[in-house]
Amino acid sequence: MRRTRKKKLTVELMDSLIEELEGVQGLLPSSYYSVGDADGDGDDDTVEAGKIESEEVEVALAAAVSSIGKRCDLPIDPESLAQLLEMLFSSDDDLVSIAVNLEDAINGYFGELFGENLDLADTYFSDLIAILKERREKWKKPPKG
Amino acid sequence: MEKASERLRRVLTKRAKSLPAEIQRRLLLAGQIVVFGSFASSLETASSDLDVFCVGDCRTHFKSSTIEILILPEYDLYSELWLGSELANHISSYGIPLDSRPEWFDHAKVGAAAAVRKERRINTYIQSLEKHWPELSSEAKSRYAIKIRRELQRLQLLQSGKPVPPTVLLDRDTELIEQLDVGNSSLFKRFRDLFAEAPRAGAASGG
Repeated sequence: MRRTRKKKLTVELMDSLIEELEGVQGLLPSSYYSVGDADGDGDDDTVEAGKIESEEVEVALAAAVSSIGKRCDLPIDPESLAQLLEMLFSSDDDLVSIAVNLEDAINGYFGELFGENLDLADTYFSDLIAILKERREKWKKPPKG
Repeated sequence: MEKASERLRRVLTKRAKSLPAEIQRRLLLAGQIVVFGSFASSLETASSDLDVFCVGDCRTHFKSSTIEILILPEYDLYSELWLGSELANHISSYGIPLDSRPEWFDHAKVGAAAAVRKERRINTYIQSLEKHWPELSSEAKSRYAIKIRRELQRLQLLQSGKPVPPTVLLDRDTELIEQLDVGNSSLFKRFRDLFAEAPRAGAASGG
């Protein structure tokens, strides 16, 4: 009975994490989107998508981390997504290193120097979400036997 | 007494052992190594990471909890963007070269664009914080209060054409903290209004 409840809570936590991360990822525009052959020159044309500043993504991610932290009633308020995942899983979990890279892509030195690398952040978001979904499916599976 | 550069080289050698093989290789091939940040000012704490800048074949950025490495190719060093940037001017003013002083240090000068970028950055932070305010934990609000206060200090320095010191020195600069509104009163007012409920970490705090 206790095991079933733990399983249910874990799946619910995974759901929330995925939902929050997808929410923040949804802020990231892909750099360009296709509009077909708008000018009639025979080539497909692309238009620059709406711009978003990396600071906005950073704050939205901080809000998502706060929201999950409150929900889990963690003893320490996590300062970053990487720290949250470290607290929920373990420090050597793949999710943690992806989160470090994600946060660096959003707010790293190169961003301020050479333009933000939000395309890279988009990839890291997708990686994190894919791993979390995979784990959620494992938790959802009924026990063997 | 051990020279600062020798001490820093020793710390770098020790911390570099934990780097991934490819980053170790790039660091080994790199030149003009400069340590900057809290270690360069001997103000590091047990949890400080070692900030390292060097010149290599390709742009590289690696970050872990113990070390952060930035490698730029030679051709980036003499661009207006780099020489006028906050980071280049911080490194050239407060960094400690492990070998001879890099030549580009003499060409670094804070550019007007660095202050414009900083002002835009603070504006976006404040706008985003206003939007997400109810969702943030009180600890997160306090952290952002410190972050924005430091960014306002950096903005003031950049607007005066001065390089930005390591963060630990910014936190100790009470004179600058008390004059945060000078020249940026509307930005400061928005900051003060937003963080009115988190005074401990706000403008009046040393962080």
